[in-house]
Amino acid sequence: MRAKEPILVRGYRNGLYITIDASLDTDELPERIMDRIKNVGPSVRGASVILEIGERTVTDDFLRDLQKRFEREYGLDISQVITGSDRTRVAAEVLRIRAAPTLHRQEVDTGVSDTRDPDTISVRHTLRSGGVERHLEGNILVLGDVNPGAEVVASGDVIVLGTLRGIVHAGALGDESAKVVALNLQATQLRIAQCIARAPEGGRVTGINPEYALVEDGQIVVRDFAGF
Amino acid sequence: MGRRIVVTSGKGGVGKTTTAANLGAALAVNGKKIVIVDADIGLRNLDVVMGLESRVVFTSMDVIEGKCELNKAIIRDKRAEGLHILAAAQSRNKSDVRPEQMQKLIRQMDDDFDITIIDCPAGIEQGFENAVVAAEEAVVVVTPEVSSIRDADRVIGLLQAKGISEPQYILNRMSQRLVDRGDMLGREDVQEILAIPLLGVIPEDSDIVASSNSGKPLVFDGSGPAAEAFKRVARRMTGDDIPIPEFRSEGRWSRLWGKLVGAN
Repeated sequence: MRAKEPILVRGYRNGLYITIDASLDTDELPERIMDRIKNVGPSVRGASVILEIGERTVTDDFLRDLQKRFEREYGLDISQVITGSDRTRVAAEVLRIRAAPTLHRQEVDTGVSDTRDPDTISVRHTLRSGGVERHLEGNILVLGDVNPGAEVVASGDVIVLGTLRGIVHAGALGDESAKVVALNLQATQLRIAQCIARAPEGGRVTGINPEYALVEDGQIVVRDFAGF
Repeated sequence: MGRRIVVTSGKGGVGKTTTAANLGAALAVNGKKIVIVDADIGLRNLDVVMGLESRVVFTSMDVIEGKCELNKAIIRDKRAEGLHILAAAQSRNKSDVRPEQMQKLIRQMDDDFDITIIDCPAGIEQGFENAVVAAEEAVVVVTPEVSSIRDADRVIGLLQAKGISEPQYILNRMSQRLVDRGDMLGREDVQEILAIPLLGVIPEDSDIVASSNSGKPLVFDGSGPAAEAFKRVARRMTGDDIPIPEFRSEGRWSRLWGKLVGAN
C-alpha cells in the first residue's frame, strides 16, 4: 500500500487548494510545498492558494516567508488559511489573510468541488488578446476563437470550437493524459502538463481542420481529429 | 440626443487623430453639427493636426475645473459649417481627470451636437478609461501590422466589457501593392482575427503627411485616395450604404498588366 501523500494539491476554480498532513515537520514545510508544486509551472501565475494547515501552530513570520516564496516563484497569492489553531489564525490575520477553521465558500467563487468528477466550464465568446480563462478543477470549452495574446489554462482538457491561436495549457496541474482539441489548431504555444510545444513555422491553415494534441512519450504530438 | 463615438486603437501612431479629424470634417461638410474632443490630455495633437492651435485659449481642463464656460472653450472651425473642436490641456496629466468628470463634460455637449467624436489617447490606462466612459459607439483604427492588430483585439475586448457591444474598425494605411507582394497582411487576415464590422479601408497616401503638417484635414480639398476613402467612411457612419471598394494594386507591373489586357 502506498503511503498517504503528506501534501495534497488540488485545483479549484481560482487556484490551488493545498492540504498539509499533521505528520510533516513545520521547518521543512516550505521546501516540501515548493517541491510539490514545482510541476505546476507558470500557467497558474496570478491564481490564489488556499492553505489547509490543520491544528499546526505557525507564526506570522513563517506565513510571511511562505507568502513571499509563493509570490516570487509562482506569482501565487495566499487567499485563505484553514486552521484549527487560534495562534495560526491570528498570525494569518496579521498578514490580512482570511483564516477560519472551515473553508469560506464565497471567497472561492464556485467553491471547491465536493465531487471527484471534474466539471467543465464553457466560454461562450471569442477570447481576445489579454483575456485569460483559468479553470483548475476541470475542463474548458470555448465556443469561439482564442486569439493571439489570449490564454486558456485548465487542469483537464481544453476544447475550442473555433480557431485556437493563443496560448493553451491543458493538464495544468500535471495531468499528462489531458488533451487539447480545436477546430483549427494554430496555438502560439501549446502546453500539456510539463510539456511545451511551439507553433510550427510558416503554413497557416484557415477554415476548419480539426486536430487534437496529446502527450506521447513525454512529447506533445498533434493529430487530425476524427473522433476519439 | 447626439451620438458619442470614441476613436481608439490601443497602439499609438496608427492614425487615430488623423482619422478623428478627417471623419469629423467630412461629417460636418455633409451637414452634421460635430464636435471633436481631444482626450489625449498632456499630449494634445488634434488642434495641431487641424491647424487650430493658435486659436486655443481654454481647454477641456479649464471647463472641468470650472474656470470657463463650455461654449468658450469650444472652437469653431470656420472652414466647415458645424465643425468644432475642444482641445486638451498640454501642461497636465491624464490622471488629473477622473472618468466621472469626463462623462459629465461630454454629456453637456450632447444636446448641442449631432455627433461628438472623442479622440482617445494610445494605451489602455487612465486616458483610455476617460475617453471611453462617455462613448456609446467606438471606431477602432488598425493598421495591417501584427502589433497593431494585437492591440486592437485587446481594445475591442475592453470596449465590449464596457458595454460597447459592437465596435467597428477602420483599416488604415493599407497598401495593396505590399499585400500583393505578400509583404503586408490583407483585409481578410485582419478580419479573421478581429471579427467585427469593417467600417472602411484607408489606403496609404503621402498626402496625409502633408495635410497633418499643414493643419488642413485632407477631406477639405484633397481628392486623393485617402481623402475619398475618409469621405466614404463618413457617409457610411450616417447610414449610407456604400460598398468598400477593392483597391487596385498600384505596383508597376499590375498597372502595366491592366493596360496590356485593356482593363482600367
